[in-house]
Amino acid sequence: MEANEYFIDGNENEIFITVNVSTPGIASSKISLTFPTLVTIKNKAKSKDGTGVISRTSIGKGENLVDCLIEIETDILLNLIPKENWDNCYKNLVITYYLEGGVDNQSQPFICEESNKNKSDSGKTISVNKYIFLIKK
Amino acid sequence: MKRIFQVILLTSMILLFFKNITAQELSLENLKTPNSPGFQILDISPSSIERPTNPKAFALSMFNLTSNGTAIPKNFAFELSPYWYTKPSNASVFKYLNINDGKHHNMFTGIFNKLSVSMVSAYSDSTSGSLLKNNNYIALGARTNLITVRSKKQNSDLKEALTIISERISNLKDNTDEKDKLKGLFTRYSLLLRSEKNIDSIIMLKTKMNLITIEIDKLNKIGPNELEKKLDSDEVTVEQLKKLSAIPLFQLDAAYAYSEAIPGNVFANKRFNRSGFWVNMTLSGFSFSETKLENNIAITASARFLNDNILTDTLNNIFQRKNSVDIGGRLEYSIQAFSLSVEYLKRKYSGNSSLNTERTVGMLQYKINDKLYLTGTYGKNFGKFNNLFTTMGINWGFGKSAMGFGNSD
Repeated sequence: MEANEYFIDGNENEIFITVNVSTPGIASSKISLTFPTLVTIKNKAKSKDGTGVISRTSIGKGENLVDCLIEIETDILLNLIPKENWDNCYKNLVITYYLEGGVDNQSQPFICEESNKNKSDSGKTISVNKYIFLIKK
Repeated sequence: MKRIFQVILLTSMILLFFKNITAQELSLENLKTPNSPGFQILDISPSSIERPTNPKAFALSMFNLTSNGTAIPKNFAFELSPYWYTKPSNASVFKYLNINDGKHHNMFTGIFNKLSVSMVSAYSDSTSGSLLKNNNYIALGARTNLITVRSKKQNSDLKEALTIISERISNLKDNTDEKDKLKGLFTRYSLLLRSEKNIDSIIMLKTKMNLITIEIDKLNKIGPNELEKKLDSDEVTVEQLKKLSAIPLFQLDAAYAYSEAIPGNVFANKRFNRSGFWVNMTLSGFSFSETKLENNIAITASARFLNDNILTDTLNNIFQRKNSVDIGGRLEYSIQAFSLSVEYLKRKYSGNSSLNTERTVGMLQYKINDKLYLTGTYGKNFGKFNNLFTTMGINWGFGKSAMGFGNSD
């Protein structure tokens, strides 16, 4: 579990997130927010159409998100793809995560890295868990 | 063209034997029915008019493996699909299945998704059809899907199925309270760490965070297996996945292939054999049982434009270039594991009707299981002599044995 950091001002600015998934498989993404108070808000946003894409969505105001850990989970099914291509789907998976509303000029987007990916023993199912900390600058 | 052909041939051979074999073990598990354009240009594929498929990243076919006991078989083919080796930034299930997503028709996405290039080496030990005795034939080919159209109802049904599956994934994915607690503690320790000055406390917090990280990683690692198990046994998901396998209403495919003959397997004797471009139009998806989607009829019309090098003087071994056109079609009916098809092609040569010829072949395929196919082909191949075309064999689609393949008189 490696967490990226995104700096926010902690003011009334709304923080937005966009998740783009590039895969020929059937994908489903959802976002949860966890706070130091041990409270977790599940399904803050989720994809609906099988692409795994979450279009630009507000996750709340910066002042309420300080020290919040965002988890973006993306699960991908490769049932419709010939078995021989599953491994290539895993290797070539591209997911990008854009955050807006924080401190200007931060390195964007965050991307799905090797350590974020897991797959089933058969290779038919892929799961990606991306973690981003929202830190007050 | 010959020089280009030789360069491509050499490059392909090197790629095949040094890249793919090392990257992906050369096992007979990659066997598949040889219907690539390279085979089709030589008229030795079981079917000359193939229905569109989603190509595998890399497929290797061999037949008559033991023909001469050579280390490198004379008869082999490989097919490579570049799409699976790229990292597209905008791939989606809508593009892959050619579903109209409301913004894009996605009719043309198969041009790259289904593009494949192939290479074939086939040895003919007897004159049969358009192949001459003791000639080795090398062919290069490429094929792709130009247009795929789904009906309005199909687009609507498929979109609905994807929405339901997406929801099922979300619901069935185990989001345990245990992981939420761990994430909460990680967040709390991370907050404390940022304000902590005491070295011992920092070390302690980092140790705790590392332990939490390990536990979360463990939970994430087992996630895909658990989800897969649940989805495989989830009736709703299985039913919706079946809907997504619906065959598109209309598909237009194109292919090109170029071949050379090498008499006596002596490279210096090589000559141009044949090149061709062809298009197939398939109308399908007529399921009599809409709920089960277990049977289909597909009608394919095919047109091939060939440039042939024909032996016109056997005494003096003189070849002449001729242009020809193949026109024909294929009718296929499949029900559950059975598939029955018949295809007809008429080849007309420009300026010499005496060379005109036909091919009529029937094919029966039975899917024993996902890995094992029984295939039988019977009919008349092109040419006037030795034109009985039969193939019979077990095709271990992903199995462990070679496919029996050959012509018989």
